[in-house]
Amino acid sequence: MRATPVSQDTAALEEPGGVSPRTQNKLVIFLFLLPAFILFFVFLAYPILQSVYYSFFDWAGFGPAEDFVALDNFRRILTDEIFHKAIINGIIIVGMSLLIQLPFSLALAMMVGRDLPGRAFFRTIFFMPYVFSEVITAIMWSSIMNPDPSRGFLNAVWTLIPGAEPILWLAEPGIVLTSIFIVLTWKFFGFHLLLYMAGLQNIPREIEEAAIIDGASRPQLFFRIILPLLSSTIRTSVYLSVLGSLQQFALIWLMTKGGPVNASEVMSTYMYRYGFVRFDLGYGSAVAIVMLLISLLFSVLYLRLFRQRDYLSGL
Amino acid sequence: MALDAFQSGFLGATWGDEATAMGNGNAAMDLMGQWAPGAFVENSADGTGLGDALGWFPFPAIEGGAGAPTDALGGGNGYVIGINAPPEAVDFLKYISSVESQIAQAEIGMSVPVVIGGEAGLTDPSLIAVQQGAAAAEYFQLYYDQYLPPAVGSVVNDAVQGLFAGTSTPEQAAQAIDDAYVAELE
Repeated sequence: MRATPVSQDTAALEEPGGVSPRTQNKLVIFLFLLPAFILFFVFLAYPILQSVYYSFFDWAGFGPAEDFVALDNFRRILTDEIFHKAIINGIIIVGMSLLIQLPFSLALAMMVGRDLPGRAFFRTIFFMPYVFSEVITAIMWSSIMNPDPSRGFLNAVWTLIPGAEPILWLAEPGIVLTSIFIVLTWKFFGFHLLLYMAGLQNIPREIEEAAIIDGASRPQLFFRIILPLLSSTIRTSVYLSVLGSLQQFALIWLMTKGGPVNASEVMSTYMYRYGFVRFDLGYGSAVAIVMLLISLLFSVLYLRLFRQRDYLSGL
Repeated sequence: MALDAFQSGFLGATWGDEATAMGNGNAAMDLMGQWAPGAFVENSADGTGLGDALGWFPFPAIEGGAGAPTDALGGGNGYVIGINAPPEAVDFLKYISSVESQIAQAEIGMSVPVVIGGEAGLTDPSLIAVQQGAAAAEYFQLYYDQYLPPAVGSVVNDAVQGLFAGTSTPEQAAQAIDDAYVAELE
């Protein structure tokens, strides 16, 4: 039998004067990582460092930043009422996501992941909104939520009830945040549904069957068996949901621009308003840094708290 | 605001919503620029707009208010030429502000003429009214959100929204604009 070409290659690699396989391995790893690292540095790390730098300046975005104001921008952020409002709105959206959107997704996952007839059809339908771009979603829902019953679908249906006045979904400061939340839920529940369905599929049927044989009721089965076994998926889903809510921008900006009168302002729309509409890029950078710190703090605390080194393994 | 004169949901209304309300004859008045008649036609349900029913009048004078009722607030186009632009750029600007070109632009509905004699190209009665109103003005103020630096102009817009939403008083709105202006000058 002839020697295989592979072993000849290996022999060639080990010839003196060449690079040892181990070093060569490292070189290959380095070369493969290099493009990603360059992109990461140029488009992520460097801009973040730049933002940190600009956040110490009063800078309109033209020419070099020269007016050094130290921590003035940060002082202004922390004392600005509209920023407080943006934080509170952010917390409300996060809270509603965790208390309403995720349980809703889990309930649907229990249904379509299991015994519902035609579940493939429902799975597709439920996941579809997640595939839409945020811009399309925003334009579509702005139209659906139009206050004029002859133009907005929701009010057209609502005003069929005798005596019902059209609801000003996006124009009433007291309602607008709920309207935004409805759209966010519509857009993202399919994603969490998919996570939960994958998690449910990982639970061995035998465990459930054993529990049923032992006489567990349906609520017991859910709370004592399914929920604990799903906990790593739930942690992942909560993590992604909180970060997603904190950073949500496109939908809100396109539907309301944070208005009316800042009623749907969140940190990202606030940042955009000051940074790019008012051309106060120093201040906008400072807002971005505050946002980054809040998200980072949450990430670190959350991962620490749950000691979840494999936080994506639940997928 | 006390008159409750605005359409339902006006705080969240887009320019498209507004043009639709006007184009379909569901609104009596609109504070808008010379581009509006065309948009009313495009956004109307039957595609014809208001036709002869559309007119123009100057903003009513407030008793004891400053300024003359004929003063104009508006805008239109400004042209900025780079420091390294070739001389042809200046020639082009001279051309588009010539009487013949202004007439041609008015005829295709591109702009309301700003040069004397250019009004000969206007046929739309409401645009003629707008042109005459602007021509008769002794004082012309560019839109404040364009006239002021972006950091102040955007505060003007937000403060006005606060006024109409009833979340701030006229004094607070004026104060917010003043504060932004002072901060910008620093």
